[in-house]
Amino acid sequence: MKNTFKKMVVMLLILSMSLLGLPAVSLAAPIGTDTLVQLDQRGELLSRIQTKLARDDVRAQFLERGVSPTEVDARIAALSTEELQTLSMQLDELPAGGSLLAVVGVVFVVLLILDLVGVTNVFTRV
Amino acid sequence: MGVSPRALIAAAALSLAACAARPPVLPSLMPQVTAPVELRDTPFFPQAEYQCGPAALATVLNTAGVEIEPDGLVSQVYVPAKRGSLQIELLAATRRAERIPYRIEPALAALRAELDAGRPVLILQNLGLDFMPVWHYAVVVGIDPAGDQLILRSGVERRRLSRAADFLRSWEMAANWGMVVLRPGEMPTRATQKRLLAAIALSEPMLSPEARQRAYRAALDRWPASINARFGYAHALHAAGELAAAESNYRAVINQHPRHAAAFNNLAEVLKDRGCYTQAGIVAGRALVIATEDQPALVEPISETLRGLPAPSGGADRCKQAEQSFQSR
Repeated sequence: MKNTFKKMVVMLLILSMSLLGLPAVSLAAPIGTDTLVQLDQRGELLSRIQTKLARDDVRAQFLERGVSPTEVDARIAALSTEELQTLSMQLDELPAGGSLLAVVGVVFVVLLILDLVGVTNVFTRV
Repeated sequence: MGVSPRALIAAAALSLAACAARPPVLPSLMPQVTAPVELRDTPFFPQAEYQCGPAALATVLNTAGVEIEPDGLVSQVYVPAKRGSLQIELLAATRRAERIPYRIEPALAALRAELDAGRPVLILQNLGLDFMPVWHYAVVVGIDPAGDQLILRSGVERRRLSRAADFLRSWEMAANWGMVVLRPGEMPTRATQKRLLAAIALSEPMLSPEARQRAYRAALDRWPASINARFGYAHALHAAGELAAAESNYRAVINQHPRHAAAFNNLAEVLKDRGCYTQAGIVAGRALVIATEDQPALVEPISETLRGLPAPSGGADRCKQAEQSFQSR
């Protein structure tokens, strides 16, 4: 009786110790069509680590540029890995459609003149 | 060199006159298209401050049945320090609304085709100069060939009329970028297989399995031989728990493309969910061999599939039968 109990404890211990080495959740999941398409387009995939780095980087850049901390993760979750990488590498160079109010100083004067002579069409109506 | 002021004024007046008398461009670009089109019912959201992105996006989302105000989109697309919104984030926010953002071909004819199908087109413009850009989003709702102009929801103007030459110039300086919003299952007028499947696939993580089934099903109806459409359809079926249908579609992909490592991998996942661990192990092993030879990038996810498989147990016979019933079909 005592022996059986000891055996059970030992077995339980062995079992729980062996489980310690395993990850808590399996990372296995079907490969997404998005992954395939990105593989088609680029001929390579970002590794899990590279993706995480790009995600962290874009997150930091967004926060630095005033994106709300409560929104930033949901925004990043909707981006493909390729888009993450694009943002991570060239967020500052990418066009950001805004408004004419963003035109200030010298740029404003130059564009106003060009508008008046009909080269640009920023301020004028038809 | 004595150039009289009078001559200068005359020259300036002449050049201005030349501008005013510019010949129309639409008739030469689209000679056979003479009928005007205008989507008058397209809603209008006047933009606030720097937020033409949220305003333009709300316009096209509402047209596709998503009830949302620009205010609800500011937190999704606006980047305060850039005083504007990024194209990539307009695509991402569309996905978050369970819709598929489709980037049209960068051409006037593609834009016109979408208008003809009743879909307004969100476009990016550079209203400034190449080296002094002024980026602006607007929604094209109409083309008037006779008047040689385009009709836009833009900024605070409900119906901005833009001379075709001006519009085309500003659009071209933004690489003719334009997008429409599709409901899952809806097809763009001039869809190219590659563009549409990329659009659906990149939306995949944000769409429900049912929405994805509709989208891939529509693509398969148009292009029955499309491997990516079949693969995506199988993926959506699996997510919806329709294991038998998912399995047969993955097998169809493998029949078409016997070295499709990802299809083998996902088939193994389906078999695992059916409790067919022995078979799943064999199929995943095959996936790993192919990936090692052809597509090293997939080795990592396939290894994880293999690691996630439990040890084989009693269900083998049942699975064998299922396998045979498959082959006899």
